[in-house]
Amino acid sequence: MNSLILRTTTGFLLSLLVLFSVYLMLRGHNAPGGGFIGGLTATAALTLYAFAFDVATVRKMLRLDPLSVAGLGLVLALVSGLPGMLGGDAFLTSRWALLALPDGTEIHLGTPLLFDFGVYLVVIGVGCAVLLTMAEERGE
Amino acid sequence: MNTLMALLIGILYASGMYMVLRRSMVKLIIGLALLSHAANLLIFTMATLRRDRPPLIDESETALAAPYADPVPQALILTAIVIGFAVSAFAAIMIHRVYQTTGTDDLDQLHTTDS
Amino acid sequence: MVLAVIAPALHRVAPEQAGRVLALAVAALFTLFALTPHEAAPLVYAWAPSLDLHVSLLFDGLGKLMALIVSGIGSLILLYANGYLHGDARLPRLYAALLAFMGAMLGVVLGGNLLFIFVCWELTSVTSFILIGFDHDRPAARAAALQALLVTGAGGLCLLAGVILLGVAGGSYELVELAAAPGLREHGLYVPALLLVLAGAFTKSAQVPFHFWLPGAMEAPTPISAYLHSATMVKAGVVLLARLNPALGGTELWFGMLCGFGGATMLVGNLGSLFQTDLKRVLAYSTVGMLGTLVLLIGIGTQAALAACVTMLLAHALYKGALFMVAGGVDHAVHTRDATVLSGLGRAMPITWAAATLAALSCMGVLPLLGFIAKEKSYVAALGAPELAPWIVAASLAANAAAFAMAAIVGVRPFLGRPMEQSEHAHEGSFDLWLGPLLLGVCSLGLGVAAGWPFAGLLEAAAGSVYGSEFEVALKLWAGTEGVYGQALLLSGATVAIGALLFALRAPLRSLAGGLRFAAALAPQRVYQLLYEGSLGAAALLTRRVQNGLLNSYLRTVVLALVGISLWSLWRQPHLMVSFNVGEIRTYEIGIVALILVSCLVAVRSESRMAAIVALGVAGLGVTLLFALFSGPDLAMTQIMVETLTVLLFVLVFYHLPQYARLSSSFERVRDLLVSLIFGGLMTLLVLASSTDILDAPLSEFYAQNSLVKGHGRNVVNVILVDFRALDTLGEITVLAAAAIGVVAMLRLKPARKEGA
Repeated sequence: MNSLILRTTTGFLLSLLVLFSVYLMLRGHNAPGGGFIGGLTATAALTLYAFAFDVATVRKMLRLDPLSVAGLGLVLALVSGLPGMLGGDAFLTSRWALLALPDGTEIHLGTPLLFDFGVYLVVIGVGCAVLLTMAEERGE
Repeated sequence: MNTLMALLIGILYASGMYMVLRRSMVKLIIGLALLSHAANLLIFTMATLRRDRPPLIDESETALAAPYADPVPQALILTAIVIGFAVSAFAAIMIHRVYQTTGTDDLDQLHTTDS
Repeated sequence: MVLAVIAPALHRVAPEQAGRVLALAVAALFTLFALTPHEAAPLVYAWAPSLDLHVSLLFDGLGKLMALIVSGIGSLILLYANGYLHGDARLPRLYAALLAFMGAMLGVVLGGNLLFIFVCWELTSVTSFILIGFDHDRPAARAAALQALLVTGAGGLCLLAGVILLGVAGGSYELVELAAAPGLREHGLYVPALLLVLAGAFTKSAQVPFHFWLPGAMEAPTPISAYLHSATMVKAGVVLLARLNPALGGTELWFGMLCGFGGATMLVGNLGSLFQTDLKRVLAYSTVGMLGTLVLLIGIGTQAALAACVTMLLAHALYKGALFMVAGGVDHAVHTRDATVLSGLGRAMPITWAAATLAALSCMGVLPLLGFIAKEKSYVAALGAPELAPWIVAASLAANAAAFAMAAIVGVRPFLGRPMEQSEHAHEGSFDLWLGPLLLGVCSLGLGVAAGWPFAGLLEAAAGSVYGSEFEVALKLWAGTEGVYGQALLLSGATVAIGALLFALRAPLRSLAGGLRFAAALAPQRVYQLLYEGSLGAAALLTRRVQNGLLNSYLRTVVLALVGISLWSLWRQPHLMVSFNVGEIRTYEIGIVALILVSCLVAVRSESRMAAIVALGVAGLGVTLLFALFSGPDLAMTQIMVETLTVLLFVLVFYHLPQYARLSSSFERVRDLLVSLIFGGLMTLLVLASSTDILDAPLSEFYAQNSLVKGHGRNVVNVILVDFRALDTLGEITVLAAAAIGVVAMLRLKPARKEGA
């Protein structure tokens, strides 16, 4: 798959798709979306990129090993459970803070967002680990 | 619609099971995927099918207004889909390795190792 | 309390002098027991209250007596083991196992709750298994250990069943409460419970026809045989019966069972001992006989009988432990235990000789020793039996005469006569080796002369706790010649005479009866062997038949069983409603369903893998559309992404796999098709039969109400995933990560291709 058109468009698409996946992840609490869906979208984007260029490029771009990404996600998800526990509640009890922006809008920030971000990273890590490794296998 | 879904689920189960019963490992995987579709639809159908009532709270409300599509089975299925992907991936790659090691994808030829 | 004392001692097994230190520790325990006054009320600690399981310790007369025997002889045995296996690398293991056993045994004798007793009971079985199989590199030891475990384990299961039945019938597992429970003997469960408990006690205490494991257990090193299989463990069954006597005793059945089996065991064991030549086996058979006697005495159940029983229990523990240790000492010195060879060791081993003589005299029931008192008491009890007295007396006479001859064979004969060849090398063992038997022998003498002085009150209390209420036990060396005592004395005389005769005739007896009687006595052993091999064979056959390693035959079985069970329960459902709801179907919905169906069929029928994968993708797309149509936007989005990735992955993987081949015959295809169709049909039926609002639970309502208020989110599905049920999701992503690690490991780590793998 050495198509110039594919390469060029994928270059644009990748950043768009990853941005979109983050958007999906963030809005998940109020509209369809969330860590799972966002993570899957990002994985699809990265896989597409791997097909257009090659696996090594994607790996370089990720900087971390996919499994480390997944591990990081797990750690984040775990950490998100700690504030609740420190506050004397059960592990993973949610904690929220209201962030008021200068222009008057209010944003709810809470541990569940961190948790969802963890899920997002795990899904990306797992998806990339499986697909990229398999794609390398094919190249051999 | 329930009746139609019931039929569909039945056929999905039947074809998935038939594929799983084949001796080829490739068919086994396809069968597994069909079975997981069937199971997801089964749960989905059991919790009342409703059109256009997604479990999203309106901007103007503070709680979900009835009637709504049950969110619990949906959360369940969402996890099931993702886990199903992991299982499929794991199984597919395991079969890939088994084929690399043994040179066959016939399940019946693999039985000597565990008896 | 007791176990806590034992446990730290377990860890101190390393140092050189461990045996002596441990012996001292246990001796301290012994002193502690001796100084603690016995009392009838149990100490109760809750363990698992919901199961009615309490650790209650019953430190009454019987408990104290047994605790003293267990810890006293235990400390001597530890010392003895130190000498017997000196320098053996396995010694620490032996100490550990012995102490663990001791703890369990104390639990059995002191336990006041039947369930607690059962737990300790099983622990003694397990530790006994370890101890019998101590020489685990010898097949004979392994087989004997396994045999003992299987027999006592089977008995243990019976006991558990019996105990539970008793608990149901009596309303409690506490011995004290059971004894007070009214109407227990008339309860419908009394007979089965009694029979099961007896099965447990009889296997443990080696009653006919389960006696065969005990001689086999002599494979263990002598310290173990001396401790477990003479003084303590085998008494567990007797103790249990004694414990239950106040609650269960006094019925025809109790009397008949105990006297029948006890009497038979008494005869088989004591007479059987005469046909053996190995010292340890002689002792083992005689132990079997003694256990029979004890059971018989409990069965008779009169005050005299129970007094005799506890006296006998103590006397036997003292002399049999000593005789075992003597046998071990002899073995240690001249490396043989063959009674026909041993002779003239007396000069080389004077201290052992003295100990042996004392123990043997006690066993014979000769005048100034404790054994005499015990034997007299047992004759008095036999004479006073409520039924069958003449038979019991005759059997006791035969058994005691045989015991007399046995004691002569073991305790006297090896030390007298012409010195044997090996006796030149014979030498007295170390201090550790002779202290135990000598001390026990002296106790036999001292307690006899002093008429059980320090123990008299204790024996009385022990007999009282077996009987259910206190009564006076006259413990006298010389009871006079009037009435039953005179008859008993007469019988003692006859015992000595017949015993001496048997001893003189021992050689012809052995040759005469060797073939015939020996085989008969071993018959249960054959049955055990047959059962054992039979069950192994059957298991192997079943495994080959069922575990054939073919995935699809497993699956077929599972599926058909599932279908069968489901249909059966559907059939039994009183209001089975199959609702057909065909209204409100929109055309495009039919289209989607048709799309899934067609792609599904293509996936199944296709000869090409790629076509199958594409069809699978299309089916997934159809499912996505269904989710989207019926209010599951999150599901639809997830499904479509997963579908894309799955298809990608499958293409990557299947690229390496071979083309489809026609592997199954037409018959198999049709068969599998039928199974699948039945399965699919069942699922359809289930969907139709389940009323649609099954899942309309308050749970969903809670989430619907609180998602925004408490979870600050409008997408209820997402709030459930990341907030309300976040722990489940955490588990899920952990599984995902684990799967990924597995995948990467499988692909990255490539071992060299194995031959024939």
